[in-house]
Amino acid sequence: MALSFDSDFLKKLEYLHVVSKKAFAGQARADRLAPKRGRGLEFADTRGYSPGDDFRHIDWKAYKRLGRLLLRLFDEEQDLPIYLFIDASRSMEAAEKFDQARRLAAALCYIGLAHLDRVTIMPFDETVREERSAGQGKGRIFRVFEQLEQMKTGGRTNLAESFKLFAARGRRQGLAVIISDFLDPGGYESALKVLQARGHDVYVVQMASEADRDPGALGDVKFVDTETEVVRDVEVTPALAAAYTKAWEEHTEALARFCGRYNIGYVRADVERSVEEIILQTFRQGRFVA
Amino acid sequence: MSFGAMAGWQAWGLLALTAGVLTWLFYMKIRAPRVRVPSLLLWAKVLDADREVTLWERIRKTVSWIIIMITGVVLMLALTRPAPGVVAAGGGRRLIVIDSSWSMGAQMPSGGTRWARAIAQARTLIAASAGDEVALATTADGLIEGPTTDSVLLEASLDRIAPAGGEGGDWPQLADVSVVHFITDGTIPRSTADLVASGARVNVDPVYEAASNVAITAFETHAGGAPDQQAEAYLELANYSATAQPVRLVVTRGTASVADTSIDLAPGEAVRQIVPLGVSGDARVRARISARDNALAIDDEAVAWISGAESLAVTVVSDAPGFLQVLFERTPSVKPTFVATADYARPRTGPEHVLIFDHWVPAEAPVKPALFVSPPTGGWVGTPVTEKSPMWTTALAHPVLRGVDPSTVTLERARAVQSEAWTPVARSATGTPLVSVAETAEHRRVMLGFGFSEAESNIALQPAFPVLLINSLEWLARPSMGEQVRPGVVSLDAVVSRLTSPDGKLVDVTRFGDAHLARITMPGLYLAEGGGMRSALAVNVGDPQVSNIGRTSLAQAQLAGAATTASNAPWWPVLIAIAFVLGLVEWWTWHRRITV
Repeated sequence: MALSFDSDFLKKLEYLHVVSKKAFAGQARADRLAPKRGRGLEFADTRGYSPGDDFRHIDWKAYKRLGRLLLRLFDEEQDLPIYLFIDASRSMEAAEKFDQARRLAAALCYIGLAHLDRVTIMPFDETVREERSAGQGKGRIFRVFEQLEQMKTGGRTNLAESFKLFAARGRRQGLAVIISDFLDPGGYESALKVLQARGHDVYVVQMASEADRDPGALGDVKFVDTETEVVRDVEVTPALAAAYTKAWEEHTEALARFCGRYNIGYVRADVERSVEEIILQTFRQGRFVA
Repeated sequence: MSFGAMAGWQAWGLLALTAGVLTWLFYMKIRAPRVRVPSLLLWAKVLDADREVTLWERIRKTVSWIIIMITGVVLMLALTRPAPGVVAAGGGRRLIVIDSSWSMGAQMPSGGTRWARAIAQARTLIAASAGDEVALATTADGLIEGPTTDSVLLEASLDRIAPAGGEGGDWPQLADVSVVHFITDGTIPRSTADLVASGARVNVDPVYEAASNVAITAFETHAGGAPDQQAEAYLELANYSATAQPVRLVVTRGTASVADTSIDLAPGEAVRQIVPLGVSGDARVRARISARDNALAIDDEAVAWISGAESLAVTVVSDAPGFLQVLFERTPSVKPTFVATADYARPRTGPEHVLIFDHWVPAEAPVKPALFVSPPTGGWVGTPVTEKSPMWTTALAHPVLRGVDPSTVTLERARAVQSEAWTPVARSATGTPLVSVAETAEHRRVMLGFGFSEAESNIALQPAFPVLLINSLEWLARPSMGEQVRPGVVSLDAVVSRLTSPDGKLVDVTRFGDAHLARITMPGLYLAEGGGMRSALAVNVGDPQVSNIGRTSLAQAQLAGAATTASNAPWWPVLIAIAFVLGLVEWWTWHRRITV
């Protein structure tokens, strides 16, 4: 799959930035407000001078007027660590879910890079396969495209194992975006909780398609699990098909409810919709980008 | 129920086999398609959950199986061509006789014709007689198919036949017939006593339904006797209806219309009309009627030929034509040409219809019809025979002698010839041929054994003279001109070798012994040719017996059964329709995912 966006869409993306509910300390100067005072351009406050402070920041005009040494403080603007988790398990093969997930990841990457955020792309299945930082600046987007294009599906979904491994590495806190269909037999609850417990601001993007909702066949059918290759003979009746659709909707609603309860951002990205529509409408409505 | 396409046991066997095969196919485990799904996670949840199974879900498969079974069985049943009603199984030979009289072409008030209903009834009988030998016959054509068990053959024969008259004909003869089905409207009464006497059981299947009709029941023409006298057409119109109605009559002579009038006819009234046809014109006369209540079309038109409307070209080869010249000058229908015997030496290619050789015969026999008057010598003509003062005593019934009164004729001497080629139709007391005729496939000839001069006879001064001469010329040139015949087998003159129907098609002429027979199946003017002569046959259908289609000889009890018979339509179209509807239901329920 070749990743590319037209220039109009890219221009629109440049005006957006990823919204984080928390302020995180970054590593480099950027245009995102950090929690601590620092060497930014924006004046923030003053405080009394203490030995060891940089005397270049002493407010001499205030000393002349008040007769005591005051130190000028400025807002620190740093980058935001964004961790893009892309589900690369085989369940994402169906109905171009993986392709759509990569397009969304590319768009989010471009938004982050445009605002000098530090974006790290992490495909996962049973574990996090690799971890590659895109760097800073939108000029890096082509490397990101290349990296995403080379990404392949394989293996089973194991959210919990993947995120535990990630958490164990002691990353800086940041924005964790998980793009997945969340069809994990082991469940998604503990995995999301792990990320949140580590102080990350977690966003969930559920990939969905009509093929997931509709059984697609009636009568005697052999269903083959794409990930496990397990075969199950099912006589799909209209009632059973309806029950399946209902189960899928319940699965989606449960995910949304869970995210709401734990203050996790949630958006649903349907494969049938365009990336532009999802980014500019769904993500903005979900206050994921602004 | 019986089956037209096969024997009963075969049909039931086929149905059982169909049901078995369909059941086997329905419940046969087919290889389920493999469908790859992202995860069985949700399917496992659905399948492992206790779900309430509705009544429909429990029976839907059985319902689907029943629909498929019925669809298949009904389709197969249609193939077996089932028929309603049970025909007594006799295992014998059946004869289906369809009344093909013209009245069967009558349009019925309920729609369709009696003939169409008869054909449908015959099909039902054929279908119901599966396994038995069936023969098919009509009253006009006799046996036309069978006996055979091949219903397809019989049905194909039904497609070929049409009303063709045959009133009063014999019953078709077929040995070992156990049941005879006679399909008729009863308009022309026919006794079935002969059939019953042969041991067969006779079932009369009525196809009668009262209908109104208007017909030309008689039509003839008569040429004017004198040159300035008009020809006339005599016709009879009848209204076989319960109500009075106007009838439009159109009479044409050739292409010229000679009458176009409307006549009010009371119920059951028959009127006779004389229509003047003019002094001269075409010999073909056609009358046509039209009316509101008119169920039978075949008797709405009648044709006739004005005998004498076309002049006869006669060449008289004589050195002293005398009385012949006087006679022909006064006969408008004859155009004579007089030729001296010496001039006849050249081969003749003239347009004459008849040659008259007066007291002379050519060296070679003429190829055209010829009248020999007192031939002088033998040669090719035959051995000469003479007799003085012969007494005309014996005369056969022959067209040449029609209207000739021999008692007024006194013969002074007779000079004739004797030969096997000649057939005497009038003789003297001693057996001398006085009038002889010769008729072969190539020619016709008449020989008079006496002359017309006073020294030979007094006939030239008697009424018998023009009668005998004109009779002879008519018989020689156009013996059957204007003859009225009815459709059916017609006996033609022996010289007729070619018969042309009104639509220009040749009709087969069959020689049967001395007779030439042709089967005429449609009314109109037919042209018969051969041996240098031409004939016109006017074939009409109209007749009070045929055209009065509002009556029947069938008993009321038989007529009551007609309604039942009419409803005995074949089942297979209904079965096909049922199968179609069931297929539609199954398709719809499948499409709606109801019976999947």
